[in-house]
Amino acid sequence: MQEKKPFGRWIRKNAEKYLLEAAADAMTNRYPECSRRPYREKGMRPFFWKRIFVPLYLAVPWKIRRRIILMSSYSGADRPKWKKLG
Amino acid sequence: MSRERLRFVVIGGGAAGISAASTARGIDTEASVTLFTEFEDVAYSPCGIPFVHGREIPDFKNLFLQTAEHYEGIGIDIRYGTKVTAIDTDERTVEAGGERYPWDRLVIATGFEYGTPDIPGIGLDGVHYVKNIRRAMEFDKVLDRIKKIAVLGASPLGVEMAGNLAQRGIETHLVDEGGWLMSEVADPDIMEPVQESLAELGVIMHFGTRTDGINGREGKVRSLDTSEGEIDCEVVIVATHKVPNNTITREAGIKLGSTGGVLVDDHMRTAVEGVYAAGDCAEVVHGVTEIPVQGLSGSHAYSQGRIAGANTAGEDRAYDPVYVPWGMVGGKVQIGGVSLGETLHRALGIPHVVAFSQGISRARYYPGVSRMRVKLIADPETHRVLGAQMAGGEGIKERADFLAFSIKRGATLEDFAWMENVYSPPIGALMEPIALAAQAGLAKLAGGQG
Repeated sequence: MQEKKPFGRWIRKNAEKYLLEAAADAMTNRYPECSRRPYREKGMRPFFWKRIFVPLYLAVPWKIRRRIILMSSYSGADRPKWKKLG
Repeated sequence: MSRERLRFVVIGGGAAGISAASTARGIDTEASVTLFTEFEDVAYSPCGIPFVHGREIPDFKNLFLQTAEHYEGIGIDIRYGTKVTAIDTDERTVEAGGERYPWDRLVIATGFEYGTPDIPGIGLDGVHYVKNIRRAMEFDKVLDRIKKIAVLGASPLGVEMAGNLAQRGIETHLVDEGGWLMSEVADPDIMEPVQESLAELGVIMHFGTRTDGINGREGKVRSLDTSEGEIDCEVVIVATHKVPNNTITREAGIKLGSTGGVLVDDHMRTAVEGVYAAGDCAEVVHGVTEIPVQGLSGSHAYSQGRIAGANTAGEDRAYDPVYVPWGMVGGKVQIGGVSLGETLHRALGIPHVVAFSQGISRARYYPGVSRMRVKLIADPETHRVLGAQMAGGEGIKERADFLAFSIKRGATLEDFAWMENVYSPPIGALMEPIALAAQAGLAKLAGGQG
Protein backbone atom coordinates (compact mmCIF):
# COMPACT_ATOMS: atom_id res chain seq x y z
CA MET A 1 0.00 0.00 0.00
CA GLN A 2 1.34 3.41 -0.91
CA GLU A 3 1.92 5.76 1.98
CA LYS A 4 -0.31 8.82 2.07
CA LYS A 5 1.99 11.82 2.08
CA PRO A 6 1.12 14.98 3.99
CA PHE A 7 0.35 18.04 1.86
CA GLY A 8 3.62 19.83 2.76
CA ARG A 9 5.70 16.87 1.60
CA TRP A 10 3.66 16.44 -1.57
CA ILE A 11 3.92 20.08 -2.58
CA ARG A 12 7.62 20.24 -1.75
CA LYS A 13 8.39 17.16 -3.81
CA ASN A 14 6.58 18.45 -6.88
CA ALA A 15 7.70 22.06 -6.50
CA GLU A 16 11.33 20.93 -6.15
CA LYS A 17 11.12 18.72 -9.21
CA TYR A 18 9.62 21.27 -11.56
CA LEU A 19 11.49 24.33 -10.28
CA LEU A 20 14.71 22.39 -10.64
CA GLU A 21 13.74 21.32 -14.15
CA ALA A 22 13.01 24.93 -15.14
CA ALA A 23 16.33 26.06 -13.67
CA ALA A 24 18.17 23.20 -15.39
CA ASP A 25 16.63 24.18 -18.73
CA ALA A 26 17.81 27.75 -18.22
CA MET A 27 21.28 26.51 -17.26
CA THR A 28 21.41 24.32 -20.37
CA ASN A 29 20.76 27.43 -22.46
CA ARG A 30 23.35 29.43 -20.53
CA TYR A 31 26.05 26.74 -20.69
CA PRO A 32 25.32 24.82 -23.92
CA GLU A 33 28.98 23.80 -24.33
CA CYS A 34 28.98 21.69 -21.17
CA SER A 35 25.45 20.29 -20.93
CA ARG A 36 22.92 18.29 -22.85
CA ARG A 37 19.16 18.74 -23.08
CA PRO A 38 17.70 16.90 -20.06
CA TYR A 39 14.96 14.28 -20.34
CA ARG A 40 11.50 15.76 -19.78
CA GLU A 41 8.23 13.88 -19.33
CA LYS A 42 5.19 15.17 -21.21
CA GLY A 43 1.51 15.33 -20.32
CA MET A 44 -1.01 17.30 -18.27
CA ARG A 45 0.75 17.00 -14.92
CA PRO A 46 4.03 18.54 -16.06
CA PHE A 47 2.02 21.11 -18.03
CA PHE A 48 0.38 22.40 -14.85
CA TRP A 49 3.55 22.53 -12.82
CA LYS A 50 5.72 23.93 -15.64
CA ARG A 51 3.35 26.39 -17.25
CA ILE A 52 1.33 27.54 -14.26
CA PHE A 53 3.10 26.80 -10.97
CA VAL A 54 6.67 27.74 -11.93
CA PRO A 55 5.86 31.15 -13.50
CA LEU A 56 3.53 32.03 -10.62
CA TYR A 57 6.13 30.97 -8.06
CA LEU A 58 8.87 33.01 -9.70
CA ALA A 59 6.61 36.08 -10.02
CA VAL A 60 6.34 36.39 -6.23
CA PRO A 61 9.22 38.32 -4.57
CA TRP A 62 11.72 36.03 -2.83
CA LYS A 63 11.10 37.37 0.69
CA ILE A 64 7.38 36.57 0.45
CA ARG A 65 8.05 33.31 -1.35
CA ARG A 66 10.43 32.17 1.37
CA ARG A 67 7.73 32.79 3.99
CA ILE A 68 5.29 30.73 1.95
CA ILE A 69 7.84 27.91 1.66
CA LEU A 70 8.42 27.95 5.41
CA MET A 71 4.66 27.99 6.10
CA SER A 72 4.16 24.98 3.84
CA SER A 73 7.16 23.22 5.40
CA TYR A 74 5.79 23.35 8.93
CA SER A 75 2.21 23.13 10.05
CA GLY A 76 1.96 26.09 12.44
CA ALA A 77 2.98 25.09 15.94
CA ASP A 78 5.18 22.25 14.64
CA ARG A 79 8.05 24.53 13.70
CA PRO A 80 10.95 23.60 15.97
CA LYS A 81 13.17 26.27 17.47
CA TRP A 82 16.47 26.91 15.68
CA LYS A 83 19.04 29.60 16.19
CA LYS A 84 18.75 32.42 13.65
CA LEU A 85 22.10 33.35 12.16
CA GLY A 86 23.10 36.58 10.44
CA MET B 1 23.17 9.46 47.45
CA SER B 2 23.66 8.34 43.84
CA ARG B 3 21.06 9.25 41.28
CA GLU B 4 19.16 6.70 39.23
CA ARG B 5 21.18 5.12 36.42
CA LEU B 6 19.82 6.35 33.08
CA ARG B 7 19.23 4.01 30.16
CA PHE B 8 20.22 5.40 26.74
CA VAL B 9 19.16 3.55 23.62
CA VAL B 10 20.46 4.43 20.17
CA ILE B 11 18.91 3.04 16.98
CA GLY B 12 21.45 2.90 14.15
CA GLY B 13 25.19 2.29 13.96
CA GLY B 14 26.18 4.82 11.31
CA ALA B 15 28.09 8.06 11.92
CA ALA B 16 25.22 9.71 13.85
CA GLY B 17 24.38 6.67 15.98
CA ILE B 18 27.93 5.78 16.93
CA SER B 19 28.88 9.39 17.75
CA ALA B 20 25.70 9.83 19.83
CA ALA B 21 26.43 6.67 21.82
CA SER B 22 30.12 7.51 22.32
CA THR B 23 29.41 11.12 23.35
CA ALA B 24 26.62 10.16 25.77
CA ARG B 25 28.82 7.48 27.27
CA GLY B 26 31.74 9.91 27.61
CA ILE B 27 29.62 12.41 29.54
CA ASP B 28 27.50 10.11 31.69
CA THR B 29 29.79 7.25 32.62
CA GLU B 30 27.15 5.73 34.92
CA ALA B 31 24.49 5.40 32.24
CA SER B 32 23.81 2.21 30.31
CA VAL B 33 24.19 2.75 26.58
CA THR B 34 22.72 0.22 24.17
CA LEU B 35 23.04 0.61 20.41
CA PHE B 36 20.98 -1.47 17.99
CA THR B 37 22.11 -2.01 14.42
CA GLU B 38 20.52 -4.29 11.87
CA PHE B 39 23.92 -4.76 10.24
CA GLU B 40 26.99 -6.83 11.13
CA ASP B 41 29.32 -3.87 11.64
CA VAL B 42 29.55 -0.33 12.94
CA ALA B 43 32.18 2.41 12.74
CA TYR B 44 33.39 2.12 9.19
CA SER B 45 33.45 4.61 6.37
CA PRO B 46 30.85 3.71 3.74
CA CYS B 47 32.00 6.75 1.76
CA GLY B 48 35.26 4.88 1.11
CA ILE B 49 33.60 1.92 -0.61
CA PRO B 50 33.83 3.30 -4.20
CA PHE B 51 37.57 3.79 -3.76
CA VAL B 52 38.16 0.20 -2.68
CA HIS B 53 36.24 -0.93 -5.77
CA GLY B 54 38.52 1.36 -7.81
CA ARG B 55 41.61 -0.12 -6.06
CA GLU B 56 42.68 3.29 -4.76
CA ILE B 57 42.32 1.73 -1.29
CA PRO B 58 43.78 -1.79 -1.11
CA ASP B 59 41.35 -3.43 1.30
CA PHE B 60 37.92 -2.98 2.86
CA LYS B 61 39.58 -3.49 6.25
CA ASN B 62 41.13 -0.03 5.85
CA LEU B 63 37.65 1.51 6.09
CA PHE B 64 37.06 0.37 9.66
CA LEU B 65 37.66 3.07 12.23
CA GLN B 66 37.16 1.14 15.45
CA THR B 67 36.78 -2.45 16.59
CA ALA B 68 33.85 -4.10 18.38
CA GLU B 69 36.18 -4.55 21.38
CA HIS B 70 36.77 -0.80 21.55
CA TYR B 71 33.08 -0.11 22.11
CA GLU B 72 32.78 -2.97 24.54
CA GLY B 73 35.74 -1.49 26.40
CA ILE B 74 34.15 1.92 26.76
CA GLY B 75 30.88 0.41 27.94
CA ILE B 76 28.66 0.62 24.87
CA ASP B 77 26.51 -2.47 24.43
CA ILE B 78 26.18 -2.92 20.66
CA ARG B 79 23.55 -5.36 19.48
CA TYR B 80 24.70 -6.34 16.00
CA GLY B 81 22.28 -7.78 13.45
CA THR B 82 19.37 -6.65 15.59
CA LYS B 83 16.69 -4.66 13.84
CA VAL B 84 14.45 -2.40 15.90
CA THR B 85 10.93 -3.04 14.64
CA ALA B 86 8.93 -0.65 16.84
CA ILE B 87 9.26 2.34 19.14
CA ASP B 88 6.73 2.82 21.92
CA THR B 89 6.87 6.41 23.15
CA ASP B 90 4.23 5.86 25.88
CA GLU B 91 5.86 2.81 27.43
CA ARG B 92 9.30 4.18 26.50
CA THR B 93 10.54 0.95 24.97
CA VAL B 94 11.89 -0.29 21.67
CA GLU B 95 11.12 -3.70 20.26
CA ALA B 96 13.90 -5.76 18.70
CA GLY B 97 14.11 -9.48 18.01
CA GLY B 98 10.78 -10.05 19.75
CA GLU B 99 11.95 -8.42 23.00
CA ARG B 100 11.24 -5.04 24.52
CA TYR B 101 14.03 -2.83 25.79
CA PRO B 102 13.26 0.16 28.03
CA TRP B 103 14.88 3.56 27.63
CA ASP B 104 14.99 6.88 29.43
CA ARG B 105 16.52 8.69 26.44
CA LEU B 106 16.30 7.50 22.86
CA VAL B 107 18.37 8.62 19.86
CA ILE B 108 16.97 7.74 16.44
CA ALA B 109 19.80 7.51 13.90
CA THR B 110 18.23 5.21 11.33
CA GLY B 111 19.93 6.84 8.35
CA PHE B 112 18.75 6.55 4.77
CA GLU B 113 17.61 4.10 2.13
CA TYR B 114 18.06 4.45 -1.60
CA GLY B 115 14.85 5.35 -3.37
CA THR B 116 14.08 2.22 -5.41
CA PRO B 117 13.36 3.16 -9.03
CA ASP B 118 9.85 2.08 -10.04
CA ILE B 119 10.94 0.19 -13.15
CA PRO B 120 10.59 -3.39 -14.37
CA GLY B 121 13.52 -5.64 -13.52
CA ILE B 122 14.63 -3.77 -10.41
CA GLY B 123 14.51 -7.03 -8.44
CA LEU B 124 16.86 -8.92 -10.78
CA ASP B 125 20.06 -10.50 -9.54
CA GLY B 126 22.82 -8.04 -10.37
CA VAL B 127 21.06 -4.87 -9.19
CA HIS B 128 23.33 -3.46 -6.50
CA TYR B 129 23.07 -0.69 -3.89
CA VAL B 130 26.23 0.78 -2.37
CA LYS B 131 25.72 1.04 1.36
CA ASN B 132 26.72 -1.97 3.44
CA ILE B 133 30.38 -2.97 3.65
CA ARG B 134 29.73 -6.75 3.74
CA ARG B 135 27.64 -6.52 0.57
CA ALA B 136 30.40 -4.38 -0.95
CA MET B 137 32.98 -7.08 -0.15
CA GLU B 138 30.85 -9.68 -1.95
CA PHE B 139 30.16 -7.29 -4.81
CA ASP B 140 33.87 -6.62 -5.26
CA LYS B 141 34.34 -10.27 -6.22
CA VAL B 142 31.55 -9.93 -8.77
CA LEU B 143 33.42 -6.99 -10.28
CA ASP B 144 36.34 -9.32 -11.01
CA ARG B 145 34.08 -11.36 -13.30
CA ILE B 146 32.15 -8.75 -15.26
CA LYS B 147 32.97 -6.58 -18.22
CA LYS B 148 30.06 -4.13 -18.49
CA ILE B 149 28.22 -2.17 -15.84
CA ALA B 150 25.58 0.56 -15.76
CA VAL B 151 25.30 3.15 -13.01
CA LEU B 152 21.83 4.66 -12.59
CA GLY B 153 22.07 8.28 -11.50
CA ALA B 154 24.88 10.80 -11.96
CA SER B 155 24.61 11.64 -8.24
CA PRO B 156 27.77 12.17 -6.16
CA LEU B 157 27.87 8.42 -5.46
CA GLY B 158 27.17 7.65 -9.13
CA VAL B 159 30.05 9.88 -10.23
CA GLU B 160 32.44 8.31 -7.71
CA MET B 161 31.41 4.78 -8.62
CA ALA B 162 31.60 5.41 -12.37
CA GLY B 163 35.12 6.85 -12.14
CA ASN B 164 36.39 4.03 -9.95
CA LEU B 165 34.81 1.24 -11.99
CA ALA B 166 36.19 2.64 -15.23
CA GLN B 167 39.59 2.92 -13.59
CA ARG B 168 39.30 -0.77 -12.78
CA GLY B 169 38.91 -1.48 -16.46
CA ILE B 170 35.17 -2.20 -16.57
CA GLU B 171 33.11 -0.71 -19.40
CA THR B 172 31.02 1.75 -17.38
CA HIS B 173 27.83 3.49 -18.51
CA LEU B 174 26.53 6.37 -16.41
CA VAL B 175 22.84 7.01 -17.11
CA ASP B 176 20.97 10.10 -15.94
CA GLU B 177 17.90 12.11 -16.93
CA GLY B 178 19.71 15.38 -16.23
CA GLY B 179 21.76 17.38 -18.68
CA TRP B 180 25.09 17.13 -16.84
CA LEU B 181 26.75 15.42 -13.88
CA MET B 182 25.14 15.96 -10.47
CA SER B 183 22.69 18.35 -12.10
CA GLU B 184 20.54 18.60 -8.97
CA VAL B 185 23.31 20.05 -6.84
CA ALA B 186 26.14 21.30 -9.05
CA ASP B 187 26.44 23.67 -12.00
CA PRO B 188 27.40 22.52 -15.53
CA ASP B 189 30.42 24.81 -15.87
CA ILE B 190 31.80 23.47 -12.57
CA MET B 191 31.19 19.86 -13.57
CA GLU B 192 32.71 20.22 -17.05
CA PRO B 193 36.27 19.26 -15.97
CA VAL B 194 34.88 16.21 -14.13
CA GLN B 195 32.96 15.19 -17.22
CA GLU B 196 36.14 15.46 -19.29
CA SER B 197 38.09 13.47 -16.71
CA LEU B 198 35.49 10.69 -16.57
CA ALA B 199 35.47 10.53 -20.38
CA GLU B 200 39.26 10.18 -20.34
CA LEU B 201 38.91 7.28 -17.89
CA GLY B 202 36.51 5.65 -20.33
CA VAL B 203 33.13 6.32 -18.70
CA ILE B 204 30.34 6.43 -21.28
CA MET B 205 27.88 9.11 -20.15
CA HIS B 206 24.24 9.07 -21.21
CA PHE B 207 22.68 12.40 -20.26
CA GLY B 208 19.04 13.30 -20.87
CA THR B 209 18.32 9.58 -20.73
CA ARG B 210 15.45 7.97 -18.83
CA THR B 211 15.78 4.37 -17.65
CA ASP B 212 12.64 2.46 -18.61
CA GLY B 213 13.58 -0.96 -17.24
CA ILE B 214 16.20 -3.61 -16.66
CA ASN B 215 16.16 -6.64 -18.91
CA GLY B 216 17.14 -10.02 -17.54
CA ARG B 217 18.05 -13.53 -18.58
CA GLU B 218 17.53 -16.40 -16.16
CA GLY B 219 16.91 -13.90 -13.38
CA LYS B 220 20.13 -11.97 -13.98
CA VAL B 221 20.72 -8.50 -15.41
CA ARG B 222 21.38 -8.53 -19.15
CA SER B 223 20.79 -4.95 -20.30
CA LEU B 224 19.21 -1.62 -19.54
CA ASP B 225 16.23 -0.25 -21.46
CA THR B 226 16.46 3.51 -21.87
CA SER B 227 14.76 6.31 -23.78
CA GLU B 228 17.89 6.37 -25.98
CA GLY B 229 18.05 2.63 -26.63
CA GLU B 230 19.37 -0.53 -25.00
CA ILE B 231 22.63 -0.61 -23.04
CA ASP B 232 24.31 -3.99 -22.51
CA CYS B 233 25.41 -4.57 -18.93
CA GLU B 234 25.80 -7.42 -16.46
CA VAL B 235 25.31 -5.35 -13.31
CA VAL B 236 23.30 -2.23 -12.49
CA ILE B 237 24.29 0.04 -9.62
CA VAL B 238 21.48 2.17 -8.22
CA ALA B 239 22.86 5.56 -7.20
CA THR B 240 19.65 7.55 -7.20
CA HIS B 241 18.02 9.57 -4.42
CA LYS B 242 18.60 8.84 -0.77
CA VAL B 243 15.44 8.91 1.29
CA PRO B 244 15.26 9.06 5.09
CA ASN B 245 14.68 5.68 6.69
CA ASN B 246 11.82 6.62 9.00
CA THR B 247 9.30 3.77 8.85
CA ILE B 248 9.36 2.87 12.57
CA THR B 249 9.63 6.53 13.55
CA ARG B 250 6.52 7.42 11.59
CA GLU B 251 4.67 4.39 12.96
CA ALA B 252 5.58 5.56 16.46
CA GLY B 253 3.80 8.86 15.76
CA ILE B 254 6.96 10.97 15.91
CA LYS B 255 6.51 13.97 13.64
CA LEU B 256 8.25 14.11 10.29
CA GLY B 257 8.87 17.26 8.26
CA SER B 258 8.38 18.25 4.63
CA THR B 259 11.57 16.45 3.56
CA GLY B 260 10.42 13.19 5.18
CA GLY B 261 13.11 13.65 7.85
CA VAL B 262 12.32 13.72 11.57
CA LEU B 263 11.43 17.21 12.81
CA VAL B 264 14.05 18.25 15.35
CA ASP B 265 15.03 21.50 17.03
CA ASP B 266 18.59 22.78 17.30
CA HIS B 267 19.21 20.38 20.22
CA MET B 268 18.20 17.43 17.98
CA ARG B 269 15.08 16.99 20.12
CA THR B 270 11.99 15.58 18.47
CA ALA B 271 8.50 16.61 19.55
CA VAL B 272 8.50 13.68 22.03
CA GLU B 273 10.27 14.34 25.31
CA GLY B 274 13.41 12.28 25.73
CA VAL B 275 13.55 11.31 22.04
CA TYR B 276 16.27 12.73 19.79
CA ALA B 277 17.10 12.20 16.12
CA ALA B 278 20.31 12.80 14.18
CA GLY B 279 21.91 12.19 10.80
CA ASP B 280 20.28 11.32 7.49
CA CYS B 281 16.93 10.47 9.09
CA ALA B 282 16.49 13.99 10.51
CA GLU B 283 15.86 17.34 8.84
CA VAL B 284 17.83 20.42 9.83
CA VAL B 285 17.63 24.10 8.89
CA HIS B 286 19.62 25.60 6.03
CA GLY B 287 21.55 28.70 7.09
CA VAL B 288 20.95 30.84 3.99
CA THR B 289 17.34 29.99 3.16
CA GLU B 290 16.07 28.72 6.55
CA ILE B 291 14.36 25.95 4.55
CA PRO B 292 14.59 22.46 6.11
CA VAL B 293 17.04 20.11 4.40
CA GLN B 294 17.95 16.47 4.87
CA GLY B 295 20.51 13.94 3.66
CA LEU B 296 23.81 15.78 4.06
CA SER B 297 27.33 14.40 4.51
CA GLY B 298 28.83 11.96 6.99
CA SER B 299 30.45 14.86 8.83
CA HIS B 300 27.03 16.44 9.37
CA ALA B 301 25.65 13.16 10.67
CA TYR B 302 28.63 12.77 13.00
CA SER B 303 28.23 16.30 14.41
CA GLN B 304 24.48 15.92 14.86
CA GLY B 305 25.08 12.63 16.67
CA ARG B 306 27.51 14.33 19.03
CA ILE B 307 24.95 17.05 19.80
CA ALA B 308 22.18 14.50 20.37
CA GLY B 309 24.47 12.35 22.54
CA ALA B 310 25.60 15.31 24.66
CA ASN B 311 22.03 16.48 25.22
CA THR B 312 20.74 13.04 26.12
CA ALA B 313 23.45 12.97 28.79
CA GLY B 314 22.27 16.26 30.27
CA GLU B 315 24.34 18.88 28.47
CA ASP B 316 22.87 21.89 26.68
CA ARG B 317 24.38 21.95 23.19
CA ALA B 318 22.89 23.51 20.08
CA TYR B 319 23.54 22.66 16.45
CA ASP B 320 23.74 25.64 14.11
CA PRO B 321 21.83 25.90 10.84
CA VAL B 322 23.90 24.31 8.09
CA TYR B 323 25.84 25.96 5.24
CA VAL B 324 26.77 22.58 3.82
CA PRO B 325 30.40 22.67 2.75
CA TRP B 326 30.95 19.71 0.43
CA GLY B 327 33.74 18.28 -1.64
CA MET B 328 34.59 15.15 -3.56
CA VAL B 329 36.71 13.72 -6.34
CA GLY B 330 35.08 13.02 -9.69
CA GLY B 331 37.40 11.23 -12.08
CA LYS B 332 40.71 12.93 -11.29
CA VAL B 333 39.20 16.33 -10.48
CA GLN B 334 38.33 17.81 -7.11
CA ILE B 335 35.01 19.64 -6.84
CA GLY B 336 33.27 21.25 -3.95
CA GLY B 337 31.25 24.13 -2.71
CA VAL B 338 29.14 25.68 -0.01
CA SER B 339 25.41 26.15 0.32
CA LEU B 340 23.59 26.42 -3.01
CA GLY B 341 25.04 26.80 -6.50
CA GLU B 342 23.76 28.86 -9.41
CA THR B 343 21.26 26.19 -10.50
CA LEU B 344 19.58 26.00 -7.12
CA HIS B 345 19.54 29.78 -6.70
CA ARG B 346 17.72 29.93 -10.02
CA ALA B 347 15.35 27.14 -9.02
CA LEU B 348 14.39 28.84 -5.78
CA GLY B 349 14.31 32.23 -7.48
CA ILE B 350 16.74 33.81 -5.00
CA PRO B 351 18.08 37.13 -6.36
CA HIS B 352 21.77 36.62 -7.06
CA VAL B 353 24.81 37.65 -9.03
CA VAL B 354 27.34 35.10 -10.28
CA ALA B 355 31.03 35.89 -9.85
CA PHE B 356 33.44 33.62 -11.69
CA SER B 357 37.18 33.27 -12.08
CA GLN B 358 39.76 30.81 -13.28
CA GLY B 359 42.85 30.80 -11.12
CA ILE B 360 45.74 28.51 -10.36
CA SER B 361 46.55 26.37 -7.34
CA ARG B 362 50.28 27.14 -7.03
CA ALA B 363 52.80 29.49 -8.63
CA ARG B 364 52.33 29.18 -12.38
CA TYR B 365 55.89 27.86 -12.83
CA TYR B 366 55.73 25.30 -10.03
CA PRO B 367 55.40 21.59 -10.98
CA GLY B 368 51.95 20.22 -10.26
CA VAL B 369 50.15 23.55 -10.70
CA SER B 370 46.54 23.10 -11.77
CA ARG B 371 43.73 25.32 -12.94
CA MET B 372 40.92 26.13 -10.54
CA ARG B 373 37.43 27.38 -11.30
CA VAL B 374 35.76 29.40 -8.57
CA LYS B 375 32.18 30.60 -8.70
CA LEU B 376 30.73 32.77 -5.96
CA ILE B 377 27.02 33.51 -5.76
CA ALA B 378 26.18 36.76 -3.98
CA ASP B 379 23.24 38.93 -3.04
CA PRO B 380 23.24 41.79 -5.59
CA GLU B 381 22.07 44.33 -2.98
CA THR B 382 24.13 43.52 0.09
CA HIS B 383 26.97 41.76 -1.79
CA ARG B 384 26.83 39.10 0.90
CA VAL B 385 28.11 35.80 -0.49
CA LEU B 386 25.38 33.15 -0.42
CA GLY B 387 27.10 30.15 -1.96
CA ALA B 388 30.08 28.90 -3.92
CA GLN B 389 31.19 26.10 -6.22
CA MET B 390 34.70 25.16 -7.31
CA ALA B 391 36.61 22.66 -9.41
CA GLY B 392 40.34 22.03 -9.66
CA GLY B 393 43.26 19.73 -9.15
CA GLU B 394 43.91 20.51 -5.48
CA GLY B 395 42.93 22.73 -2.55
CA ILE B 396 39.17 22.53 -3.05
CA LYS B 397 38.23 21.01 0.31
CA GLU B 398 40.17 23.62 2.29
CA ARG B 399 38.56 26.44 0.33
CA ALA B 400 35.08 24.97 0.82
CA ASP B 401 35.65 24.82 4.59
CA PHE B 402 36.99 28.38 4.63
CA LEU B 403 34.11 29.69 2.53
CA ALA B 404 31.51 27.95 4.70
CA PHE B 405 33.03 29.49 7.82
CA SER B 406 33.13 32.95 6.21
CA ILE B 407 29.68 32.81 4.63
CA LYS B 408 28.19 31.75 7.95
CA ARG B 409 29.63 34.94 9.41
CA GLY B 410 28.22 37.16 6.67
CA ALA B 411 31.28 37.72 4.45
CA THR B 412 30.71 39.89 1.38
CA LEU B 413 32.29 40.09 -2.06
CA GLU B 414 34.32 43.06 -0.76
CA ASP B 415 35.67 40.92 2.10
CA PHE B 416 36.85 38.24 -0.29
CA ALA B 417 38.08 40.71 -2.95
CA TRP B 418 40.44 42.28 -0.42
CA MET B 419 41.27 39.18 1.60
CA GLU B 420 44.81 38.32 2.65
CA ASN B 421 46.13 35.05 1.28
CA VAL B 422 49.07 32.71 1.55
CA TYR B 423 51.59 33.00 -1.25
CA SER B 424 54.18 30.26 -1.44
CA PRO B 425 55.05 28.84 -4.87
CA PRO B 426 54.67 25.12 -4.00
CA ILE B 427 51.30 25.54 -2.26
CA GLY B 428 49.64 28.82 -3.22
CA ALA B 429 49.52 31.30 -6.08
CA LEU B 430 50.12 35.02 -5.70
CA MET B 431 46.52 35.73 -6.59
CA GLU B 432 43.97 33.70 -4.66
CA PRO B 433 41.25 32.34 -7.00
CA ILE B 434 38.50 33.18 -4.47
CA ALA B 435 39.68 36.81 -4.40
CA LEU B 436 39.77 36.90 -8.20
CA ALA B 437 36.18 35.66 -8.37
CA ALA B 438 35.03 38.25 -5.84
CA GLN B 439 36.80 41.01 -7.80
CA ALA B 440 35.08 39.82 -10.98
CA GLY B 441 31.73 39.90 -9.16
CA LEU B 442 32.26 43.45 -7.95
CA ALA B 443 33.30 44.55 -11.45
CA LYS B 444 30.15 42.94 -12.82
CA LEU B 445 27.98 44.75 -10.29
CA ALA B 446 29.77 48.06 -10.96
CA GLY B 447 29.07 47.55 -14.65
CA GLY B 448 25.39 47.14 -13.90
CA GLN B 449 25.30 43.45 -14.79
CA GLY B 450 23.95 42.31 -11.45
